[in-house]
Amino acid sequence: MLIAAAPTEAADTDPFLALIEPLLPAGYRLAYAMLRSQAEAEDALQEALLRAWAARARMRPDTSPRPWFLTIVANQCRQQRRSRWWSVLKRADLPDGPTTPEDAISGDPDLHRALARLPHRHRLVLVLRYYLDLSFEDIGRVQGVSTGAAKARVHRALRHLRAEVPEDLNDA
Amino acid sequence: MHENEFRHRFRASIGEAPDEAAAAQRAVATLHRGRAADEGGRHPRALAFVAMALTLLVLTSLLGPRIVRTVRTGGATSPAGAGAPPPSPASAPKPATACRLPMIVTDSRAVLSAAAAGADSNGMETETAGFVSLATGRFQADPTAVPDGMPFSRMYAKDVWRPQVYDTVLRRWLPVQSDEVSPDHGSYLYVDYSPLLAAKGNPFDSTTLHVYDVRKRTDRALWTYAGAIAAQWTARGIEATTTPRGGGQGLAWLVDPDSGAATAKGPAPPPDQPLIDRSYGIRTGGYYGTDGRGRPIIVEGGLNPGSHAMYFVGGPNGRRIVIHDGVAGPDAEFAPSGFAPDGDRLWMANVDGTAIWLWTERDGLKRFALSGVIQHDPYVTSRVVGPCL
Repeated sequence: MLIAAAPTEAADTDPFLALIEPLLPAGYRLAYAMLRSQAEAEDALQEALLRAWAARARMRPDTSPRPWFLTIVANQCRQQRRSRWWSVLKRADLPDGPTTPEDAISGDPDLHRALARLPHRHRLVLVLRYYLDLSFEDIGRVQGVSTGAAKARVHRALRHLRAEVPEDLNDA
Repeated sequence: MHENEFRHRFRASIGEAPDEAAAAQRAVATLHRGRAADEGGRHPRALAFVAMALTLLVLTSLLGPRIVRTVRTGGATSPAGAGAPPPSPASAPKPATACRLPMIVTDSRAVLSAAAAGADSNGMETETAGFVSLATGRFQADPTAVPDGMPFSRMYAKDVWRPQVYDTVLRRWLPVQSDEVSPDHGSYLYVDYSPLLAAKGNPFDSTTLHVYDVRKRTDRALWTYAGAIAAQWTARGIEATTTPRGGGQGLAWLVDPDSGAATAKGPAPPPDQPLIDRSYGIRTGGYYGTDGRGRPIIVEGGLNPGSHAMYFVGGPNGRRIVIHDGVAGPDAEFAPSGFAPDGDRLWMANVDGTAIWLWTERDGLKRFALSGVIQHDPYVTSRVVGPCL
C-alpha cells in the first residue's frame, strides 16, 4: 500500500489530507447541488471525508483521487436523501413554491424546481457535468461506467429535464 | 439553447455553494477531532471516529512502525532486529524464470458500481489468489486459497475471509498479514470485535486477541481489552497497541503468546504518525514498505499521471538507491502497485496488470510480461504477496 502525500505543508504531517483537501470545495459543491441545503451539504461533506479516510487503503496511488472522492460524496448525498425521505415527500407536495431558503434565492426557479423533481441518478450526472464541469471520462469514473455510458446517462438526464421545462432545453 | 448557455442557467438555478472555504475547514476540523479521538462520548459521532481511528491504527500497526523505525535509524537495521519481519525462508532464491510468484488480484469494480447506483452499502471487493509462472508470465488462480476453517480478524459482521499472504513455510494462503504470523510460522494472530459492528459508528464493547495454531487447527482467546487492539508478532512476542473504547490515550503492550499476559509499555504512537522522513529530503511522496534488509522503499514525486516519480530504496545517511526514475501514472511503463521483498530481490506487479518487475541493487530492473489478469482497468489491481517459490 502506498501512503501518499501532496506538495503542501500539510504533507509533512498528514499525507491523506494533503491529497484530499484540495478536493473538498468540489465535494462541497456537489453536495450542495444535490441536497440544496448548506447545512446538509456540510454534513455530507464531513461524512464523506470520514468515509474516505476509512477507505483510503482502496485509493489507487497512481490515478486521480478526484473521481474516487466525488463518488463517496455522491453516495453520501444519496444516503442522506433516503434518510430524510419525509422532507422529499414534503417538497413533492409543494411544487409551486420555494421550499427552502436556498430555493427562494435561486436564480432560475423553474429550472431549479425541475431539477428537484429529477431522480437522484439524473440529477447527479447533470450536476457533475454542468455544475462541476467534469469531463465525460471523469463522470464515467465516478459512476463506474465507460465514457460512452456516461455520455448516454447525461443525455438521458437531459431528456428527463426537457420533459419538465421543454421550451428551454431543446439544444442543450 | 447552447451547452454553455445551459450550463450558465444550470449553475444559476442551483446558485453558488455558500461559505465554501469554511465548509472545507469544518470538514477537516471534524476529521481532526475524530482522529484525536479525545472527545469520548461527548460527540454523537465519537464512535464513528473511533472506528475510523482504529482502521488507521490497524494500517499503521501493520505498516508504519517497522518503516518509521527503520528510517529513524538510518535504514541499516538487520532483519533479525526488533520488529523486523521474519527472515525469508527463500534464502537461496531460485532463478527468476524458474519460479512462481504468489499474487493477489483485487477487483473493486463492484464497489464502484454499488456507489454509482447509490446503494446503501458498498459492493464487495473480490480477491483472487494465485501464482504467476515467470517462465510463461501467466497468472493462474490457486484453488487451494480457501478458508479451510481458518479464522480471521473481524470488525464488521459483513467481513469475509480474504487471502492476504502466501506463507512459504506452511505453503498455504493465510487470511492475515505476514507480520501477524509467528516467527516459527506455526500460528498467527487475529482480533475479533465484540459485538461485531453492523456499520461504521456502531458501538462495541471489547476486542479479543486470538492465536490460531494452523497445524493443530486450534484457536485460543489470548487477551480481551475494553477497546480496540492492533497487533503484530515479532521475535519479542506479540506487540500490540490499544485504543480505549470511546477514545483516549492509546497504549503499547507486549503480550506473551503462551500465557496471554499483557504488559503495558507506555503510550502508543499516534495512529497518524507521519511517515514522511526528512532524512531523504522527501517533500512529496510515500512509502511502500521495506526491502529484505529492512530498508525503506520510497517514492518521491506526484501521484497524478505524468508527474515525475522516483522510486528508491533508502540507504544510510540519506543515500538513495534508485529503482526507477521517471513518470508516474497507470499508463507509465513502471507503475508498481507494491513491493514484495525476496532476499536481495524486490518483486512488483504493474498496476495495469501488464507486467511483473524484478529489481536487484546489482542488476537493476527486469520486466516480465504478465497475462491472465484483467489489464488496463483502473479498478482491478494486482499485487505480489511473497517471494518467488
